[in-house]
Amino acid sequence: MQEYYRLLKVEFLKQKRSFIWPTVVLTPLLGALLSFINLFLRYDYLRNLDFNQSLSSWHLFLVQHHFIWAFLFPLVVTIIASHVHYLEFKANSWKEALALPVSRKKVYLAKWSVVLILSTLMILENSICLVIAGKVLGFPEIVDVSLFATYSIYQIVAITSLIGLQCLLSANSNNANVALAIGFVGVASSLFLAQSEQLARFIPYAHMIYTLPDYRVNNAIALYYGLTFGLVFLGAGILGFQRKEIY
Amino acid sequence: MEPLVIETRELTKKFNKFTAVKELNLKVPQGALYGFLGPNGAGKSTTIRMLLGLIKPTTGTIHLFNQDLSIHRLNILSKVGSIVETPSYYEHLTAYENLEITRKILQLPPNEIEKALDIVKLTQWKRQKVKEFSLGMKQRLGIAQALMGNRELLILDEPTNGLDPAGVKEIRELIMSLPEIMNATVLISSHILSEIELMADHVGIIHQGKLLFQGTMAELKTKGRDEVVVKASPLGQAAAFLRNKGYDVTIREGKLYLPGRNINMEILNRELVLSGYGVSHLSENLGNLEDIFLQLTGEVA
Repeated sequence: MQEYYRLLKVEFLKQKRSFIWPTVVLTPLLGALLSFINLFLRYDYLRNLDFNQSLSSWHLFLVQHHFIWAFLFPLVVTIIASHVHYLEFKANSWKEALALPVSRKKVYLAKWSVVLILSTLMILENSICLVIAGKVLGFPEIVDVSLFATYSIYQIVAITSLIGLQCLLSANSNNANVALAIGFVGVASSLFLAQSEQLARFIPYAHMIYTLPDYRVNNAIALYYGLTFGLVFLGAGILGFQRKEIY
Repeated sequence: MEPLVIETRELTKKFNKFTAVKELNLKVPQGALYGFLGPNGAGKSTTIRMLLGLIKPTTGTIHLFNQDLSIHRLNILSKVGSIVETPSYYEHLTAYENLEITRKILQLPPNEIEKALDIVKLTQWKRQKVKEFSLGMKQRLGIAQALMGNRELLILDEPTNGLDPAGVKEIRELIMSLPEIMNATVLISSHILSEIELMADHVGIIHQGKLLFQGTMAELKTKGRDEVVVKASPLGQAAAFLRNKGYDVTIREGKLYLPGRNINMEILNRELVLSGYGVSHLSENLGNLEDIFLQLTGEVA
């Protein structure tokens, strides 16, 4: 376990001065800001729509926000997962990193964990920003803490499948940009493919779309399939990385 | 005989139908500066990658410090420092931060970074980002990385690649000082004969994946074609005289060449002088490493 923590610290050290940090900080802010502008301009209109009548202001805010966030967030996570591995390809440093006395499994786990930790930070920051934005907008109801907590947990669970797949692709291909391209195509196409619940179950890029805590959304797809695929991809990634030949 | 730090047995690596390394039996004694010599594509880097556990052998075994690499990889690698081809760095980090990564992984005290930087003379640039370094400085940083933690074995794959002559000399002197400073065994690979000749005390010559020679530098030099060179006048008559005496003589560029290892130069000189020939030059021409290398690799090609 100590070796894992050391490798995790090392992974964060490698990210020093990297564009990842501004990305992690600014993306949730941007997502919340766009949603804030949306509600600031259209609150009364949205409030009066029939299918929004039963929703609280906070819930309405989250529904509107989810249209942007379910696309923006997976894209950024794809970039982070690729970048964490691209560092090694760019510096051609897999050979140095793996010639040190380290377990390959833990090296892979440390990189996977960095992506998960940064994704979790973005999710939490985004929720905090949304609460602040809602307060500024002056919603009449008190903050629905359980709604935001549920939304955050669902996202953390759902995003594991995308992280698992992107780490698997990034670490086990010979060019991290290939994984990035696949990720972009995957996220973009998931918007269409997620229209079918049957298909969405098996598309990790679509799991995020099903994280909105709403009676009209089948959250089971995000939770069960997100977690299952997350674990399967993590296992497959570790196995592949242990066998990878480093040239 | 010194104990072996590296010992491979019938080590073979195949990539589909291509065999990069064939039944290699490498033996590197403790304390040696072992030159692993071979032309580009001979199988040096593939062998080194197998020694470091980066790629798996198709067949054969690798023992480092008398331990099987496939079983004791982590324990073995904790004693091995390496550079594989061009050293790798995170260019957005400083020299110090790059070494900090290695230090954290190896759980070394912070002063190990200063020690390594001092050996490679990079202390004054430790806070500079690596992307601002020259190739020579990057190479030295790579060596510093390999030195950290008192490694018992250093494996340096083409460490002078791409350097200018001054950089080559600098790195060569640094490498030659390592066995004394670090008390380490050093395996250095190169395709440059003169480099190995200047640095190594033990040599392994690999060509087309096969180990053609292995032994001390002195043993390698005995493989050369020795000859005695004589400048005598009149040249033609002196050549005829020596042929009559049973010597094998060829004339090239105004000199007589007598191949053979057991020619007594004192007797040869006396015979020529007492027979009235003027002798202005008499020397033993030992085969140089280049000739020996070409002879060995030519036998395989």
